[in-house]
Amino acid sequence: MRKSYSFDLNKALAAWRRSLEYNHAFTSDDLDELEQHLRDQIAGLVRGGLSEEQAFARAMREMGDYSTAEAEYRKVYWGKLRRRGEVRNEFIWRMAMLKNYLKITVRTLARQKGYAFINIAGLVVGLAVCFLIFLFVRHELSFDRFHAQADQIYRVVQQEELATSGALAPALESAYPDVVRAVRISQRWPEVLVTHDGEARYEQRFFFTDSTFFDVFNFPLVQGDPRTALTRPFSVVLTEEMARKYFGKEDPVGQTLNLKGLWDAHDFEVTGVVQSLPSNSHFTFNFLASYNTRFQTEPGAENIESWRYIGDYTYLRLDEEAAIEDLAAKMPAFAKQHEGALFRNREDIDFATWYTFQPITDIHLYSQYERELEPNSEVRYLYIFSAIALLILLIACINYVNLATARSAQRAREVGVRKVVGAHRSQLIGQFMGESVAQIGVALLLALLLVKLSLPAFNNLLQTGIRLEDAAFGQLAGIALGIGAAVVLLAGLYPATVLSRFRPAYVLKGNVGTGASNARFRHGLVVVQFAASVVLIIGTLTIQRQLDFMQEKKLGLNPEQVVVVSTRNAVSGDSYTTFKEELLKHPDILSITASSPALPARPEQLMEVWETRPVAGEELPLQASQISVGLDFLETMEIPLVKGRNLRPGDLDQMRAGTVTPVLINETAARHFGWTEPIGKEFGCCHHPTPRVVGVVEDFHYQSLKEEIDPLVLSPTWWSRFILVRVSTTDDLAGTLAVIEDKWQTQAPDYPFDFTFLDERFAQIYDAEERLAQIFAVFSALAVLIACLGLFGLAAFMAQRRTKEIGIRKVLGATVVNIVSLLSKDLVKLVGIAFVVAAPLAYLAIERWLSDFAYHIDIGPGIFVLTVLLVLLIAGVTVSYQSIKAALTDPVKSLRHE
Amino acid sequence: MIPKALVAASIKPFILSVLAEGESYGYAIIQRVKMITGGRIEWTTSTLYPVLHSLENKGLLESRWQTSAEGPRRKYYQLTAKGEKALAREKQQWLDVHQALMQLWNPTPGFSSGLAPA
Repeated sequence: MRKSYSFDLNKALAAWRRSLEYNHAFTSDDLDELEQHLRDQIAGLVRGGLSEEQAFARAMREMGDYSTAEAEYRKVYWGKLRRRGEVRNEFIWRMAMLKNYLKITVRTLARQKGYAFINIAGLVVGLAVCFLIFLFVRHELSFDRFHAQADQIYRVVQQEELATSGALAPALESAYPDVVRAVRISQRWPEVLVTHDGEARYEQRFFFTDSTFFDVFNFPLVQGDPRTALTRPFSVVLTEEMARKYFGKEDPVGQTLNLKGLWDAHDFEVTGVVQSLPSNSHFTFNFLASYNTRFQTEPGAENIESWRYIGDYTYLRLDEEAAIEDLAAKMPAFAKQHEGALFRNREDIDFATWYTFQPITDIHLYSQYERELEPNSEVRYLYIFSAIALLILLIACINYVNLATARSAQRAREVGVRKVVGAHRSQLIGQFMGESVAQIGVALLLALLLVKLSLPAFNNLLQTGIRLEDAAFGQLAGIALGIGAAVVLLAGLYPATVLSRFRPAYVLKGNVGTGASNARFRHGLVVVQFAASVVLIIGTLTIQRQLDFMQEKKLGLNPEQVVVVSTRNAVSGDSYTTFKEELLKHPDILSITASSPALPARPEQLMEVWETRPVAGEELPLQASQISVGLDFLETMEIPLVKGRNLRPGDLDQMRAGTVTPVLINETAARHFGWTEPIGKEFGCCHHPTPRVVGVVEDFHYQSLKEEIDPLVLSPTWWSRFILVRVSTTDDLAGTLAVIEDKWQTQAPDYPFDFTFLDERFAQIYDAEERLAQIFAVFSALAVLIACLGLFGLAAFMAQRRTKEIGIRKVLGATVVNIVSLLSKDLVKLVGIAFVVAAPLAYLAIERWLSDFAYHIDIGPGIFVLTVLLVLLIAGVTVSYQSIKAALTDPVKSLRHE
Repeated sequence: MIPKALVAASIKPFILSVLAEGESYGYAIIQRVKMITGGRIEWTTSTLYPVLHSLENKGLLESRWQTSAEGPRRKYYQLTAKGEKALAREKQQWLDVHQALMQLWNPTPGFSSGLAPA
């Protein structure tokens, strides 16, 4: 039987009307009018032969789409109020609501101080980190943009190297009108000995440059005329710092400084002082000397402007209208014209990419040539740090979302009441978004304060010079508001939608529901948080381990207890021999040798030697690096000899006689050259009499562990650019150093005693990695901290919600352990899922990072196991506080409550 | 069918003209226009009422409520003096357009373009 049912038009219309009643756009007058319309229409349709039910359905259909109706009605809403003079009332009413919202916001926060603290503290840290990293990224992207025509300044790269001929700049400038200025920068003097007022000091960052330097680069002079400062030979321009250092409060311009680089010392006239250099310049200097000084100081000055003689950096500024592509197109012909002769115009030389141009604004982030003026950064660090900032902000936002939705039950009745008295959903969303704006606004202000306070520490960590004063206030405010708005949307929108969705009929009956889908969502978010933390922790542990590995790896030589004296050839040859003999008389000085370059060597410092004799029937160019060493190199460095003999004094005599150069090679070289019996083998080389192998040494690391051990030749020399002194492990290192310094002064009275320790030199090459490790450690600690704050809040909430359940369980005999494990089980599961999600991502990331190192740790399970344990431990401690507290509660109290 | 743009453009003169015949209410206005156009123009409620309200906001119409025995009150609209002026203006504009088109469609002899009617 069909269930009989009769259609009641009045009920249907009443239901239809209720559905529109909450909508602000329709006033009750409007609904009266519409209802009457429907009644008229239905009456008409019924007269036409339809049943009431059919007529109602048809009228509904013809009424059109609800949302367009709403939009159309909204357009005339304010006009209606104006016509009836109700605008003021509406405003008063809206203000009253706003006041009410504010009051509720403050009361809610005050009643839930703990949650408010967790929410705001997490957001403050997250926002501050985000803001700091934003400032950092902005600073890195701003490099060299301070030059007036930064977009038209380029650096010339010659065959993938930065060294160019001194002839290039003048030739470019005269050949192409598009090249407004071409400037040479020469680091011919790697350092200078500055003598002033009877005091001598070594200074770095001394450059020769053309008088048009200030036409290309915007380094304002605080004193002197930029057009003439570098025109005369023996003119020097100082930075403000150097001016203060040497002249104090005196006026430096017109004074003289005695400067000695390579060759003889000369008096230079100070012609200008440059304002302190900005921190976002890809190269910095202390001294700029006029380029033409070189013609009067260098032996072989006639070569400086020869095409064969390369060594200068060349920068050029293009005309504003010109395009670099046009200039680049002319370069092959230009290169062939000027450099072709050097290669006897051989047809097989490809001049197509002989010269290329680098925009100056790309240098800091993209240029990694050898002999950069200063070490550059890499754009990938910007990506890594931005990703970290976003992760941390995400973790903070998730806290907010989780706590807000978890606690939504507390607000459910409020929502119910508001809806019953006529609040529309959009109003409720507005209210809760407003609450988010208020909380996030407070967090933002506190975050800005934190940024200001932590900026020095942050600068220290990242080795940058970011200053808040450098950025325009409006811009900073814009950034802050931008981040704030993003957080409001990210963190505020979801809780607002959840809260405004409550149905008054259910919640007012007390039926808030367990919110299973919300709980699942929250768990999902916790997984995201912990996955982010896991990635950061694995990153931190990997970087740290690789660092430890590099610092502790057996180098094949013993870097401990070795003093490295930089001689700059002031003590060399005979004076070195005397120095050595004198020092060895002291009981604490065990052995002395010399080397050039110093260890660890940078790849570009290693001279190369070639073997081009046939190997296995083929003419193969075989390459090896070369280090010039003193006689007792193996003893002093404690490098074992594998075959043959060590170097001995007679070897130098053989070299002097011009017969052969007895050399040592490493095992890799022997393998590389394919020599099973290397002793006595000779090979082609350039500088010495033919090298002959007299011994093979065990492989040792003479470079950073990023580099492979390459074939190496150790050739004897009587020069000693660096003297290596092995001292005994005595308590009185200072005394031993004093002895060395004393002997140094006897040999080179005019030169400062300049020393380092070999183990420190090896440690220093990993400064960048060390810094990265620190940054990762700090950021992952913050990420974990924020995630734990959120977890703590969530655990408190869950324990509170299950108070009664726990009470009943305890009454029925559950132990504290049972209860704690009950409350912690979920958490372990979440951490487990987070780990499974994050581990592969982390694996890919660290594998990529490690591939930069020729010698690196294996990615074993150790780091992953450690991370899981660490996360479980941290999360466990966080949660167990709450669960133990809940488990220890007297069930009488929790059950009597209601 | 009359295209949407033309329906939208003509809604104001239609409403004003129907009300010039005397006081009326929404459903009746729709029915009157439907009849007069032979069913080619039939507005939905969400088209008509917001326009009525906006004309009322602008002071071209005024309204009064009349209570009825069954159902809620009924809202009657009538032209104000301002509305009558607006109607006169609309009328003139539509007539201008109409006459211009008519001249093109039925050329008076003497102004003929010389083409014989098909």
